Amino acid sequence: MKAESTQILWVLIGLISLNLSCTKQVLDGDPPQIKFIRDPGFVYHDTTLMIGQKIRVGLDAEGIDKNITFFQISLDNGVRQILLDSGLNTPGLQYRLDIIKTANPIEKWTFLVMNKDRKKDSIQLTLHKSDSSHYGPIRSFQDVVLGAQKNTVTGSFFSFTTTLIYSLDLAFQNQSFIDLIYYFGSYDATLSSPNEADAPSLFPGPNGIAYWTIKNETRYDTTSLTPQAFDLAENDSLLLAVYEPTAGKRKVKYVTQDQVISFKSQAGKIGLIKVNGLESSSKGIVLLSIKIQE
Amino acid sequence: MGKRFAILGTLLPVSLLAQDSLKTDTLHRPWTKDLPELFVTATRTQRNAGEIPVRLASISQATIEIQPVLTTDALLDLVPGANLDRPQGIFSKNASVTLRGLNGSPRILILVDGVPVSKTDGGGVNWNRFIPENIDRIEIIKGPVSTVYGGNAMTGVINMITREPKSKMEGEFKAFYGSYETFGGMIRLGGRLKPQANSFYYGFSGFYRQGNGYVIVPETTRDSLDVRTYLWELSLGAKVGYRYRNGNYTEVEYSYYNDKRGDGTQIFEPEGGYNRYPTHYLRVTSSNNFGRFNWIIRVFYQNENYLRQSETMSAKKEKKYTLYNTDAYRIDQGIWTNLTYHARRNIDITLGLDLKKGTVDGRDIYRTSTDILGNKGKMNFLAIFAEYEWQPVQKKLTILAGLRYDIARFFDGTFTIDEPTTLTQFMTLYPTVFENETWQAVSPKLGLKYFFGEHISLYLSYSHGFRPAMLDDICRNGNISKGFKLANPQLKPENVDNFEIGSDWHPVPSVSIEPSIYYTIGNDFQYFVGNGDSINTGGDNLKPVLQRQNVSRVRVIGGEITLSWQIIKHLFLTANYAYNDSRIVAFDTTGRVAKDLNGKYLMEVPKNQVFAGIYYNSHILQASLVFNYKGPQWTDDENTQETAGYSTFDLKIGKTFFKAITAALIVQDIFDNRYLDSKGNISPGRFFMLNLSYRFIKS
Repeated sequence: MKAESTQILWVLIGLISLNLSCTKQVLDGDPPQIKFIRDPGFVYHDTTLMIGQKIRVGLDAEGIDKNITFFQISLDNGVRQILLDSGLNTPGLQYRLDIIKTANPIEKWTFLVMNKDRKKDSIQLTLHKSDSSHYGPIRSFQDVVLGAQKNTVTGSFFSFTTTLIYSLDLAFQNQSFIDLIYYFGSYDATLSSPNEADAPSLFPGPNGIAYWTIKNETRYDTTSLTPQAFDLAENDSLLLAVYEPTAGKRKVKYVTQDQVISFKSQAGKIGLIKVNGLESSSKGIVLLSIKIQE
Repeated sequence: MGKRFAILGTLLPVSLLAQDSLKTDTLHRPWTKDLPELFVTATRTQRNAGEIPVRLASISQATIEIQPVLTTDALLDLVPGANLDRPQGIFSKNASVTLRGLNGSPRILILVDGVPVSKTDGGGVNWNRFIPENIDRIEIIKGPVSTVYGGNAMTGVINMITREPKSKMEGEFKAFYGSYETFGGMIRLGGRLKPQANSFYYGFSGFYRQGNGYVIVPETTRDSLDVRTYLWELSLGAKVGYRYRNGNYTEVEYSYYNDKRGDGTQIFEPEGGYNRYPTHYLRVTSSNNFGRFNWIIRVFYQNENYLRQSETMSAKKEKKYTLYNTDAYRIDQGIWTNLTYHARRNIDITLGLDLKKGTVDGRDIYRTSTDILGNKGKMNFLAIFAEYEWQPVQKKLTILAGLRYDIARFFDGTFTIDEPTTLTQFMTLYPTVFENETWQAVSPKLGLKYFFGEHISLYLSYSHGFRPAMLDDICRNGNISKGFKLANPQLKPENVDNFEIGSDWHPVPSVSIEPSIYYTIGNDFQYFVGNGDSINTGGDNLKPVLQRQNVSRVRVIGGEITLSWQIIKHLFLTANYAYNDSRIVAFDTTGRVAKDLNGKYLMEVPKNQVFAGIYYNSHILQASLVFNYKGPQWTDDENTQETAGYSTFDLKIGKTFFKAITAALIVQDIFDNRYLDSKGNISPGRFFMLNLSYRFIKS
């Protein structure tokens, strides 16, 4: 009898052990919080803007119970587009964003944060187009000739500010001015800028881009504009009409003749590039026309 | 009587200790040919092992105890043709065991006490949850066994048979400490109300292990995000049964397993990336003899909740950080039953009916974006089989023939994307609800074994095997290293036909030699092929859209030989060699975008493998020294990258004090010969483990 009781006791101990091992994770806690920075110079409420007008928005977010792991900026101007999806893991977040008002009547900007428990908070900013909007002036550069990376005669670097063409060595000395780079690489004729990932490997050496301390970034987007439409642009209305804040890439690949490319410079200027012609080789050239906001 | 019922109603199992293991002099033949007289796996009923016309192997409890191993799967190194892949030792999130030149865990069926533990979702099994101390013996059948077991039994079956207590009360307590701050303990307790048959028996087991691991990335490629792996794992089990005088028995077993293993990456989260496999497992077996009939029914349920945390930072300039959790339930449940009629004139007929259902319900829950990806799918299996065993000349000739019909239905397949961001937006272009699909398989088998005399026999066999497509390939879209994987609900099973000849030869009583050669043709083998589309998955370049399809034909020419020699009373030697030439012999690229792999070797298959072990076992000392060699293996289908061959020596020395306390030292990879696995990670190198155990037995 004693032996049987001992055996039953063992059984019970075993069952209790099994039961203790089953626990459920309960997700609890407050959601994160995000709010606009209300310092001078920042816009933090819905407003009306002229086309092309630039504003600065500041965001301040706190994870509260858990770290913030996701930050998203989306824009709804009739079509919802995601401008930024960013993974992170931080107790707090401060973010500043420059927005240029496009030709759309209404733009709804949404800023969302989420913590590790997937609890979310978001805020919105609505920008209306002013009825008294007028289009701004532009600068035009015709027949800009850039050489590809192995072209020893013509430079590959261009500045929207100085409107000069630079060789690699000169560009190294004028890093803060360089906005546009041309090379012929894995994706054939390519327009990029110093902050693009592939450019350093194509422009190596002691003055190579890898060693630059200032790397401007220009964002490009292809368009369906014709060369004739480009030629007719006399103010920034067309530039703003085709500009898509969410679509910009660090480079535009497989550039072809008569292609019209939209861009936004490091300085926030919006513009268009027309490809007038090119020689398809790493020693070749590309011939461009450029129109950019003043 | 009333008390017994009360106990039966309260208890659940376990595997426990047999008092034989206390008597070290009962260790006669510590190697794979240590076949028990009765072998249950080949035909799903008890059979004389020597008469079955297939290549069998068995690893006994005594062998298990003297091997220098820390995990159950490592015991399979003893089996020629078994290819064990556990590159990070106990810190590996899982192990893979394959047989006879065909890579991939789903191509082998793993059983515990005769019920399947291979998952329908991924086809593999979680080897970490099987503790060597709980196992009475392991039976291995090589070559296709789909005639009896259906899916996955394509290159063989491994059946782990758990311990059953044999005395009134028995138990073992073990503590261990080893390299990388690894420590833990094991407990086994059990007994039976009467030490003989016709009695209720029960047992419990518990196992805990934790360790701090090591950095698995070689120093030359290591960066600040590579950290030490870690592990903790817990296993609990209970078993209860009643065994009658006439051989009938009913047994219930329940086990629970939980673990956490760091994957060696840590960016922001304190625990970094990790994998967990909490698993509940329940089995009920009842075997009943009436007249010339034996009826066995097995009911099983396995619920694995796969939990993963993945923390990655892309190597690109943007350093994109991603954190997500996988939470997937993989449930396999079923009823397998077979009825054997022992007819006169040495004829046995077995009929079987198997029902099984496999389900997956998984989610990838992103923390660094709003996306939640979900995949669900179910597969039902129904099979009937018949097997006919005849000995026209008793103890001279055995003929075994069988036929099985399987029908499987895939249904309720969905792939969902909630709150997509740019991370998964592109996936919404593809179907999210999958058509139901049905397929069938017919698996014949024919074998014969002839004894030319008392010391030599020859067997010939033909058998067919198949493995169903994995649910993961049928109903889950997702990024893979090569591109973007598209689910394929039309994916059909792979099939093999195996022709084999082998012999068992005992030139002298202390020596046995077991050679086998085989030729295997595999059809409808599954590979990833492109459909011609490419898609922007968010990176710089477009990725090809790939789908697993039945496109290739493979063949394996292989052979293996085992030598076992009892040198003197307490000294034994076993050695084996396996050769496999596994190639793709046809690859259908028609209408597909894929490299023609015709003529390529199968990846992760060493052409040559060698194992040798020498054992000394007496009352004074128990010792073993084993050697393992694996030849080079291709790590990609295109045969562009190959890992170097490697070899290891492992050692175990133990001594028993006062007939109850045993101290043992295990040294794995004595010469610290660290090797690289197919992913470029390094093995743990020399690993020490000191065990101290106490056993008791009360008759």
